[in-house]
Amino acid sequence: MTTLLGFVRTVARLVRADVTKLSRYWVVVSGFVAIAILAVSGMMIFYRIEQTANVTADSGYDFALSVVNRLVDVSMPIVYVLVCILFAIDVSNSTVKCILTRPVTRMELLVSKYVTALGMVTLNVALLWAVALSGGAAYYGLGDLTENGYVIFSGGYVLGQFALGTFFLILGFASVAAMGVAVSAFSSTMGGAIIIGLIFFFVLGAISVIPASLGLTVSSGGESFLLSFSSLSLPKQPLVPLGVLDDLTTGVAIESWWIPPIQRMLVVCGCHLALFFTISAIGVRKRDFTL
Amino acid sequence: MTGVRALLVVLMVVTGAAAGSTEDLFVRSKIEFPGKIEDHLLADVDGDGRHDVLVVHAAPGDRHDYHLAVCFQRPEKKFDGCEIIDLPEDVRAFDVGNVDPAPGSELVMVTATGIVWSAFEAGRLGPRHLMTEVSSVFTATDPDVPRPLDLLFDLNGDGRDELLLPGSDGPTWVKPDGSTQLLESPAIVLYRLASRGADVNAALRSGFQSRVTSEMNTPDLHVFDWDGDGRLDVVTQLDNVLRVFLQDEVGSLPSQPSRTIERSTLAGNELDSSFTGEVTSFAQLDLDGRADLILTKWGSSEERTRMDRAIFFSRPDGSYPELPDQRVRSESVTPDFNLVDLDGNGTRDLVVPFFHFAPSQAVKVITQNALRWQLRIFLLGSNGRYSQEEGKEFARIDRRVVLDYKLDILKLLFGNQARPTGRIAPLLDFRADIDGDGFADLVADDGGDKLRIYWGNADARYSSSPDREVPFESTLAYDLIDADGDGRTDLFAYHGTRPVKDQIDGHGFHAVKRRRTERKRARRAEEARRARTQDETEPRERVRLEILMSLGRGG
Repeated sequence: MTTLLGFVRTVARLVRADVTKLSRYWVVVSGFVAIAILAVSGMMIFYRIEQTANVTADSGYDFALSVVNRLVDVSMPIVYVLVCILFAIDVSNSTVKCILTRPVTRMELLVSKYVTALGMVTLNVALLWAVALSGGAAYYGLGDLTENGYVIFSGGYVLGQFALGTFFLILGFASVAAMGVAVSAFSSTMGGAIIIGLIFFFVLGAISVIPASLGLTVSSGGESFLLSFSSLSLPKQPLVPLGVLDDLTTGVAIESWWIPPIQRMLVVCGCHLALFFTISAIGVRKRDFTL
Repeated sequence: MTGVRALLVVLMVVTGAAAGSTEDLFVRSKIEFPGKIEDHLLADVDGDGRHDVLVVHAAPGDRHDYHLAVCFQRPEKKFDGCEIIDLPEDVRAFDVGNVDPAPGSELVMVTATGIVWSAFEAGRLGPRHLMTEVSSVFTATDPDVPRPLDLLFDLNGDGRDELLLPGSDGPTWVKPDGSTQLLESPAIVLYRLASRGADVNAALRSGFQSRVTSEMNTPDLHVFDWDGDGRLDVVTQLDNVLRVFLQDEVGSLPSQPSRTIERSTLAGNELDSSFTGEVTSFAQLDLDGRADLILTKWGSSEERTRMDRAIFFSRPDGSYPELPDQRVRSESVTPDFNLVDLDGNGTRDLVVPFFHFAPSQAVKVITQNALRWQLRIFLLGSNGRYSQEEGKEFARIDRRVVLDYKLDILKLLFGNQARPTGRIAPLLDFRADIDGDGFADLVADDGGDKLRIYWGNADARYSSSPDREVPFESTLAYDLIDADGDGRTDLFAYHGTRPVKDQIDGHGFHAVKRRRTERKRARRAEEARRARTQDETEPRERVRLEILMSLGRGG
């Protein structure tokens, strides 16, 4: 118990140091500023397009959900690139040597990077929701969710479901960030980490364009199931919970979040997360940071 | 093909009890024969009170040699064979009905020179009888695919069908005694001058008459009890104009419309948008027996993806208000909707398919290979109105049913399934009463070769997961009808072509990793088959039917 507590304390100290360091590093700050600018301008452009095309959202919640859906796609590569430099920044500045001269294990260092990455992802998602909901409130109003003038869900219920959806969104996002940390764990320069990281990101993203009807057919109990290759596309997984939330804005209550699409997403993301953590753990343990 | 010639073909038919969970629900028949499907029709050909299936198809390898397959229903709810009848070359359209006193139906054929009928006689058509020589829109036309067309109606209820023939001035009613009467409802004729060939000629010389292309739009024709007097009336519909010919007590129809009805909900500025459209339909919605109007408007400039349905309830004197009594609003892809009595109270409830235009739908296609549909239900209450609160502009949605439809992009883009013409849509339909309990059941094809069934009830509440799920090859062409008169709805699915290669693989269009030896063996088997049959055509076209005859919940 004491060991675990000590582990957590050390990780917390390392995360605090990371946050302090990153919040003063202009690249990271610029990245989040870029996301904020993209979010606000994107939201305004999206509203403008809606008005021009006369295809308007049903409500502020519908609008906010659509905005987040689009912005997740846009902001994901930016956050991912920022995560890619988490280790590389310490290696290229040689600060990792100083850290490892302290009573800090390599596993604590690795876990702290994952926690920092999770924090960056959470900050990004919170930023997107803040912008999207503000836009929804300004343009259409929030309050209760209505359709053709009839209340279909109370505002509290909708926001509660949005919070649950956001939890799953962050889980999906975190598995993408894990790939960034894994790449970073093997990189010595920030440029190298970003280039290698982006290659992995777009390769895994490209899998999503494989038609979902292509895959491996597995028979079980007389029934055959198709395991689509496109299911392996990691960058698309965070969008799955947003698809579930989409039901809400069309008047369908979400009876359960434990449904096959979410289960599939958790399996894909969980496998990727375990894989990337294992790879990065091997890398961090084997690597000679003193060079 | 010359004249009428008959050929009885023994077909490869696989009929048998359904497997697994379907055993107690359906008797399943599968029929397959060479050809490419063009169209289909359900009719009682042999006069046994049961519907038989008629399939118009082209011969394999010859797109202009058309045949009619007549697949008879047997007493034990099975279809165990088809007779293939050559369709005469001069047939443009046809219908099946009872036009002579003998039992069984006859084939009424519209040709370029007149209307003839023949009886079905064991695998062939009997001698031709001239029905009338009156001209129709088909007069002097060139041959094309012979298609089923609703021509025969029993207007006076005597059990014998009469002919309503589309013409440029309106439908011609051919009475049982052979006399004819024009019901004045003129077609709209559009024309276009010149053509690409004329453009070329114009460059070479001046002073010649260029080609004129014209297109005649005859009205839709309905035989329907418009005024609730128990007699069938004739209604023509062209654009938003409905012309009603009311049948009187002695069974005659007026030559001029008894009523002409036209309503529109489009504002002047909305007509400027090329996206905007409007369609009029009618049905007996409430319990007064009179027809009510439903105007569907889509793509208006104010709300692009919204579709509004304006409902005009008929008044006791048969008139309609100038402004709609109620409006129903929903997003939708097509203006289609269903009117079904879901709760068994005798009134017609409105079912509107809804599709949410959102980025999440694209993600769903990518990650789940599926599109999400919602069927929105508006129940017509005992007060004769859809639920609508005081001061609200639109009716309230009473129920929602959510369905995922698997979308196989590869099959959609590269699949070579021939499909019949006519209404092509995924099978997501409330017009079924599979168990015969009087309530409309929802039958939904999941797009992945499964049929989901949701039982109906007096509350029109459908469970979120299917009550029954049975194997069923997904289709876009189907009929839902009580084909044997037992009060339960049966399902007919039509499929066109499946290449031989696919039959060998036996795994649909999905990519299946096969061992090299298996692939080699399959290729050798196919080459051997071709050598035996000297068949060099590939792929070989097949018409396939899957028929599910309901046994009810208890089997």
